[in-house]
Amino acid sequence: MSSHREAPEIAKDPVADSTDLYAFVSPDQAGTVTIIANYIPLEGPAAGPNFYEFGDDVLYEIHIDTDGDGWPDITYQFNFTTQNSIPTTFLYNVGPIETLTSSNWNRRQFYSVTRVDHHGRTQVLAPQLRCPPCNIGPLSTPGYAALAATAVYPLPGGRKVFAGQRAEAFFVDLGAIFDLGDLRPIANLHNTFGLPALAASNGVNATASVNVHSIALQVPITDIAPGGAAPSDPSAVRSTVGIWTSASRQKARILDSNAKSRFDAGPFVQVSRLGNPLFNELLVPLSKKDEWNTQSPANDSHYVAGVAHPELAGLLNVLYPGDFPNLAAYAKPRADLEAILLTGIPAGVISPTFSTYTGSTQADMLRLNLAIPASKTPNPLGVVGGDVAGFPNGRRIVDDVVSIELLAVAGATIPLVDSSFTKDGAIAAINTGVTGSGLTFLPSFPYMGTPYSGFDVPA
Amino acid sequence: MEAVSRRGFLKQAGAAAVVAVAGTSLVTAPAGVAGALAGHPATHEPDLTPEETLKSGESLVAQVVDAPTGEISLFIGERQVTLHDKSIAARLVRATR
Repeated sequence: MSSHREAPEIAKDPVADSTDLYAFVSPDQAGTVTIIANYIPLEGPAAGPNFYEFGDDVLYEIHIDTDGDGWPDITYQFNFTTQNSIPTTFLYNVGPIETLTSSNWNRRQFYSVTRVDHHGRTQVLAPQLRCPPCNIGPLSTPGYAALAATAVYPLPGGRKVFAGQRAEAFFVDLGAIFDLGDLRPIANLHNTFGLPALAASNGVNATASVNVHSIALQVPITDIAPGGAAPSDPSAVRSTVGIWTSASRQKARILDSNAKSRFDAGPFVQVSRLGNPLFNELLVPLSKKDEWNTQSPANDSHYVAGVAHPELAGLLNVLYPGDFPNLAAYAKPRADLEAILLTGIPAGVISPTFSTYTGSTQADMLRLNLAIPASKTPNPLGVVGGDVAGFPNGRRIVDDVVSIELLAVAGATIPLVDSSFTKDGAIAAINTGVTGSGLTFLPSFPYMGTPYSGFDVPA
Repeated sequence: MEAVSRRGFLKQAGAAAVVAVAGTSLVTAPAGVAGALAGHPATHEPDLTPEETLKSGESLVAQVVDAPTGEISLFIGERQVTLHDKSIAARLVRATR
């Protein structure tokens, strides 16, 4: 949940709150890309009687920019509808749900998938697909993994889709990071503002054992590549696409005392978006976070200041006094972060054959080089760890984006663009104390793990 | 994409006059508003033809964005239409007083 509850207003609207975006060359399906857009943060598995679901009144979209201008050239739209099939019961289900058509299942959700091209032409890829139920427990949803697997649908053109509840894959010690950055493994080095010293301890994954709702899409590379041809030169600008997700609601809503009389009207306006993990969370001032959510990446030049001079970089040497003197003295705009997050990394910076550069337009998009194959042995530190198939070249489920971005903000990537800078020794000590080692993923689409059941994780 | 958040819009809408119309009758405006509008019919506006009128279940929301300039936003389906009519804006605002 690299973007969960990241802005004051969207934090109050979890159904539309994008939490994570993943995009990677599929490790088990050569020639395809998988994109996963997650919504609804911090779902407690024991959520009865009303279990989590997508919003029927929310337009969910995955956007692809193929020419680096920060505007979508291809968009996949997902629209949901919910039905109650047993009007007399207060229950989500009145018996075991063993199939997606079970008569025991009262409240079920359907969705359509539509592809929109850069001419605005729409193609309905599927008019009505079924979401799986939430994972309730061994009596309500027996054999859940197999049941949910039946909700993976083929789409025309070699595409594949899934929409429904999944186990949270993001890991972070929220309790420590937002307690003024007292990372538990190095909390003993924190200045503590004159309060009693903290002891070092192990990190705690604040998002362990919670679920999210995923929209997972697998498409042939040719479906999103510029010109519809799979690129082969990883150093070429046209090999990289920009990806982001958004959620939109209609402009006007009227609520009457009779709940059935609610209606929405007008065009959809964007209320949430997500490209690079943690961008809005860490680099956009609180007063502008909700505004940022309404914008397209093409407008992100307005938010460059937070990237060029990140507040967190300035804080590090204050929170950990004297540990980051070189970073504290570095007054130049952070060209490394601007490249990583806003333009992509040009060929030659990491290696002659590695690039995520999409052009000079500064736009927060998750950039994926379609000519770089999946790694057989992924390193969770991605490019920072020498694995060019990982973040910030797209983002895999296993990537430790918190550590990667924390290292980058702390100056680990400045030498890539400025050889005069010497990294502070403290960078080696930066440790969030949390890894994804305890998380389970699926080896194939939709890759996100089986959600935790309310029975097994009651609290 | 417009640089206004959903919440911002709602806040703005709360400060402006908003009238919702469903079918052919006012349903969410207070009785006084409906009565005031009904009592001041447009002078030269012919009745809607069956083809023109709102479909069953279709709703229209009107927002007086700026009464002095007569800017009114109309929301219907997934569309927004902007109208500039000082007379209509004045009548809507006056109907709420």
